Amino acid sequence: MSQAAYGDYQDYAWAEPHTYARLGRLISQNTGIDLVLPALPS
Amino acid sequence: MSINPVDIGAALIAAIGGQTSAPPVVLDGPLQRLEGGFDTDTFLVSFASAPHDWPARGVLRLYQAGTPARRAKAEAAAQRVVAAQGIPSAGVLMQGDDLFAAGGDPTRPFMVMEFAPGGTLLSRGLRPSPFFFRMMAVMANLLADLHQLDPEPLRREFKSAGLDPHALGPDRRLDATRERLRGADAAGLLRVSEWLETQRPGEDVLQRSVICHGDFHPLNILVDQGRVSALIDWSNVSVAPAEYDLAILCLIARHGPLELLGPIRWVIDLFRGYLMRRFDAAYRAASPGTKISSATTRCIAPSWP
Repeated sequence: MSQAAYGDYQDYAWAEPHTYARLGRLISQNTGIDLVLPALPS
Repeated sequence: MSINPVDIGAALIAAIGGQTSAPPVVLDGPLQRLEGGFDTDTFLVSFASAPHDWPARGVLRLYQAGTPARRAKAEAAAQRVVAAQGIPSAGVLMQGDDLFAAGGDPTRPFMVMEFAPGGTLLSRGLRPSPFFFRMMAVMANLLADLHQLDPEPLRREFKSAGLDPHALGPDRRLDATRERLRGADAAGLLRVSEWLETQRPGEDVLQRSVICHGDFHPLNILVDQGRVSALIDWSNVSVAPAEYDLAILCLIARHGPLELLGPIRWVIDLFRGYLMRRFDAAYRAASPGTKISSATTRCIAPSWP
């Protein structure tokens, strides 16, 4: 994910790394898509 | 760029003066910052001299620079409509497209609302008191009441505010999500967007659309003396099947960022299954006619028969 795109959300609690990873797993489970989430910019 | 509350107060006085014919507004002390949403600044405003029929205290909700004016218009429209139909909501005193109209680029839309007393339902519910056992019923009854409202007045209010009533429906939200994901340069998530396209609700589902808050959770409900004083933050208001609100609540309650809650996170973590089952039972009792899909039920109360 681009830094510019992430920049809009990085202060948002849902972008906290554990929550972000948990959401990724949830999306995969519910859609059946083997989702590889974009890495969060460090 | 952060702006000094003194400058914001001065801009607010000018904005009120420009919209009302009242004698000059005088603030009773500086604006006080309140805890607010992720993308707004919120202030308590005390008036020494306010426009007539305004209360002595109000809340200024100031959107981030560059926020489209339609967002503040949509929120104000939603608050007006639900308040008129009996949902506790902060009355809208004034709404504008740009608080800093004189030099505003990008613009900062704003809204001035009545001050709703109390604290969040979560903070009140987690105090050691019997309210802990009642808070899910309070929440469920509020949502059930909202879902009983006729959505037509909201569509009409959107139209008269110059907004597109179709923007309230799930189609536009799906479109917006796709555009955001494209713009985010996140190829993997575009597959999710394609999947969402295949899940667009059919006409039979959309026919049972109601007014949905769109971000219904205990931090957006203010409670005073055991009663709801306001349901706040209407930025995601939609007209959609009731399951839309239920699914969002479920997502937030089961998977939300508990880190937000600091030291009380363990209490919530321990009780979230119990609390959601209480919510589920109370919501069903309060809205027996509302159809809830089995997928939504599994999410809200997975161990519930």
